[in-house]
Amino acid sequence: MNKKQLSILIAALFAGATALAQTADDPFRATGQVTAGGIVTDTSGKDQSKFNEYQDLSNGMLSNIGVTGRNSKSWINAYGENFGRDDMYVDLRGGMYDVFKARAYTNWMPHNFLYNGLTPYTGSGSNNLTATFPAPDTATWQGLNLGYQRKDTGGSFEWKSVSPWYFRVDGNQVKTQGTKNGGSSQGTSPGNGYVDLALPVQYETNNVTGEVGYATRTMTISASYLASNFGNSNETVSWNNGFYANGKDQTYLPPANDYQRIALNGTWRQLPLKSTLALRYTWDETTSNATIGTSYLGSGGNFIPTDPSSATFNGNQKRQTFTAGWAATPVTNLDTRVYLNWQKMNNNSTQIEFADGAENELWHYKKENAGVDAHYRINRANRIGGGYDYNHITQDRIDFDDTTNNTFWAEWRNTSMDTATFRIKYSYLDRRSTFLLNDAGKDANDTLYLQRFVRRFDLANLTQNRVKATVDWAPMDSTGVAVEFIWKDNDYGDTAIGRTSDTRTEIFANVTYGMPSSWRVSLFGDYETVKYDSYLRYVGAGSCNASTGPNCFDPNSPPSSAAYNWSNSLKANNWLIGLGGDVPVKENFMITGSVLYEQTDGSSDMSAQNNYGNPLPLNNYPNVKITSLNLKGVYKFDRNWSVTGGYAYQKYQYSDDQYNGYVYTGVGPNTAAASQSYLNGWNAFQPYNANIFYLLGTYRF
Amino acid sequence: MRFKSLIAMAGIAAAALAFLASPAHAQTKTMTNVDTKPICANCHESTHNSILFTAHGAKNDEAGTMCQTCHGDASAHLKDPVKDKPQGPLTSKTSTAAEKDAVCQTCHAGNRHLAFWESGKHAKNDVSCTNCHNLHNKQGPVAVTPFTTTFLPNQSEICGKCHQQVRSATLKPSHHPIIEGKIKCSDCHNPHGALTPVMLKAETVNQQCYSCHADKRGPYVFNHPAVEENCLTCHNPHGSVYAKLLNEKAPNLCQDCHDWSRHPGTVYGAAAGFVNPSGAPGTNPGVSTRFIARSCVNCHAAIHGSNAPGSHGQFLIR
Repeated sequence: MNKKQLSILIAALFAGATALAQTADDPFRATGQVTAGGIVTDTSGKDQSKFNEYQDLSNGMLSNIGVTGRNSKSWINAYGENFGRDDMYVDLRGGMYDVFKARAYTNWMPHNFLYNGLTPYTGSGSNNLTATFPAPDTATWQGLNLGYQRKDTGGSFEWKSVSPWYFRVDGNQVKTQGTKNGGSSQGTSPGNGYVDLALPVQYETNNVTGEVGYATRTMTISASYLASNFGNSNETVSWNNGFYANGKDQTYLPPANDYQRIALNGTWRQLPLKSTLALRYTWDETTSNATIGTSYLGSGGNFIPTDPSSATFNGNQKRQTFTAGWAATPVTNLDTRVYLNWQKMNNNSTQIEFADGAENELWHYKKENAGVDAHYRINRANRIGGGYDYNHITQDRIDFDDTTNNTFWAEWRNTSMDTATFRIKYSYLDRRSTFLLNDAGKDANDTLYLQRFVRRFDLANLTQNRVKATVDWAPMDSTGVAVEFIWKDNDYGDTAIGRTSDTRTEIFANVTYGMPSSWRVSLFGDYETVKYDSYLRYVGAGSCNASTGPNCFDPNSPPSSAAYNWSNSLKANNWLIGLGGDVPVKENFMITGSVLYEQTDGSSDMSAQNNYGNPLPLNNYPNVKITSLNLKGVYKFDRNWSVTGGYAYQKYQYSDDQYNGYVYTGVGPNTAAASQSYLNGWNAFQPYNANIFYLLGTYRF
Repeated sequence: MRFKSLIAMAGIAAAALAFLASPAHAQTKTMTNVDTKPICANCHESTHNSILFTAHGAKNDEAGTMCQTCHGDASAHLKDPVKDKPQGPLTSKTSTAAEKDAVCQTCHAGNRHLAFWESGKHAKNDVSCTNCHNLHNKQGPVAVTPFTTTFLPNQSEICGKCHQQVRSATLKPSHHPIIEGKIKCSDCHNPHGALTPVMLKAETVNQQCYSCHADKRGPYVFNHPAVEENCLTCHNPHGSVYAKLLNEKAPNLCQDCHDWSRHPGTVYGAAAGFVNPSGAPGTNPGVSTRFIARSCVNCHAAIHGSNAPGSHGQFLIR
């Protein structure tokens, strides 16, 4: 939607809603505020993109305007802020009571990934990245910032003057422009090095939805149609590949696609057994089209024919879902729910085979899910609940084709004290999948044999236990204590190679206290430990030989320095504490402040058979400390005028063994110039300090 | 162009409907003049002012009909304001969530947003409308967040009162712009009820993610099954200490599924980093391009799918 169309729409809506509807005995009254001022930031740190990740914190003007108004027929609610900045937001809502309502908005957001990076390429952000390799001297490289600007502009209109019928249209356009970080291996082996690439982002997504419905107290039915189109101005990017004699290589970017969906919804209330029946059916289709590359860059800068079996790819995925839910109260104090979810995805995309043996897999699936849950209120203070969920998935993956999940849960909720609620819930999940690779490889000397032992955790057999307990105590208004405890354990008991377990323990606490019409304070904190355990096997490349030993692809074979098993335990301990409060120093002077501190200690411990592979632990994996201070004072001169001043401080400390000692090139065991990697600094120099000052004047009317 | 035309047509249709819905059509129901002051406002002026410019205020009248719709019959209270308080479910400390919700449903039961209220987890877990909706501008808890440029209240503060785990996640280093106010919880979840697990607005997790990340929709020539199945296999949408909202750090996350001859499950310990584990100066000669920086994604950058031909696409490296 361009600016002209948008402004016509807005003008039509709000002219009709306000000016035409106003009369002398029914005045349109409005209230609101206008705020203007400035922000100044003082920052240090090589790469401050994290500080500016989603906000425009540059020095300049801050502003916002809010207006709310109505008479007996019409209303408006308008708000806008940060005008002219990269994070501008404008939201206009209005309508006529029981006739229509409308909305128009624009929401801008920066998304910054890297400041002060370096790249050997010129043309960053375009679809042609040019460089000549080797390029070991970073002094000759180009400066690089990575990030894009996202602008979402749209609106909606709902007409309901013929209630209970209604008609609604929603539409928006999202434009995303800039760059993002990409990369590529240079050759086909990890020893050939890799390059970071600044990929162009020129996306445009248009969405429009129409919905018609009939809504009463006892029944709601609706039908909607959504059409969405995604466009990318650059579906490929060319770049010089030093490993392949500086030839022009090509990376493929997201293709344009079209998406459409039909949804039918229905809810019927006040049925027998005090029940409600809800049904939903959707059909959607995603399509894309691409011309298949007939060659790719290879050794010596020569192009290798790919001989695709089809010159074009027509992507086509169709999904259907059907959901039914029946909520009932068959007897007093017993609430029940029975539900059914059915999903099916057909992949009708083009099957393509290539000369190098590559062939695409057209993944599709069917999911059948059903369950029942019930809550019984034993008395006013105690309620118990339980449920069962069955989920069956059939699909055509190479490793698993049939998965069944059975989940049971039970909970108890107690409100014996009028001011407190205690709740505990336990759930148990058992997942069983049919594994298809039990006969992979002809024997333990065959590379494929190892796949008999690898279980991918997203579908591997699993036993999950989860406990969640909460206590909420609110003895008086503005005063409360809330504690939440979560323990979850995933045990992939049948997994020999892969993730074997993960465990998560978390406790959260929140305390608020406030004197009515006076000061308030809020304190919260949490402590979390997360652990992922895995068991893996290293086997030197190729088939079994003298160094790896016989039967090297069998994890039960004797270890050697070139074939051994090892285990890994990845841990993260997180804790966070936050304190905030506000104090009315005087009737017309309020101070608000908060401080937040978060720390993560990440690590990875490894052990290997006979200590092969030199498994040195990682102790900064990552370690993060974030400190935030936020102080604000609001002084009111009178009922119209006020001034707001604020100071905020942020300190971000990040240490990661994957980045510590970072260099832009000269990386890798292979010192051949052609195999050098070229990095751009993404994520390597994140720590920053920031002081933020702002001063705003506000006029209220 | 087709979609631009559709949007333009929708805009024109909306404008036409707005014109049709001019004042003549607006007289179907009685709303009150903004200057109408209910009798309740004689004592509860600030409470009245808090709804004055809302639809609740517009439906009020001099008798305080709207006040009594929610708070119960006030005839006795008007005679003896101190002794006889209105005893509606909203003010009673012993009323259940369902009893409180029934008050709101008196008017809002036919709202399209509430079509699946009875099927949703909030209704099942005794969450009442007033747990989230602050009708009279009652002060909520003090916000404890880093500085943001928005001056709007942050919806996640409301949801975070109960969903503390999620609130903590949103404060982690890698997060969606939730605390910055650019994404709301209700952009993905329907707090008023849905038939989907965790009350997602879309039918599946991936369809929900694609509503913003349309570039990931594909369909690609070569896909990554775990991606097509469920974005949450690798990502935590609420926040993570690991970059890109990953559940686990790469290469560990990747190696949990991939142990293959070309890339055997390799011990990427401190000996694989830039820094010499011995403390010797200079770049570590044992540094591995498969461990440093983005690890596996250094090379397999097309991790969400690729249209590159042949093995370049199959292995998601172009």
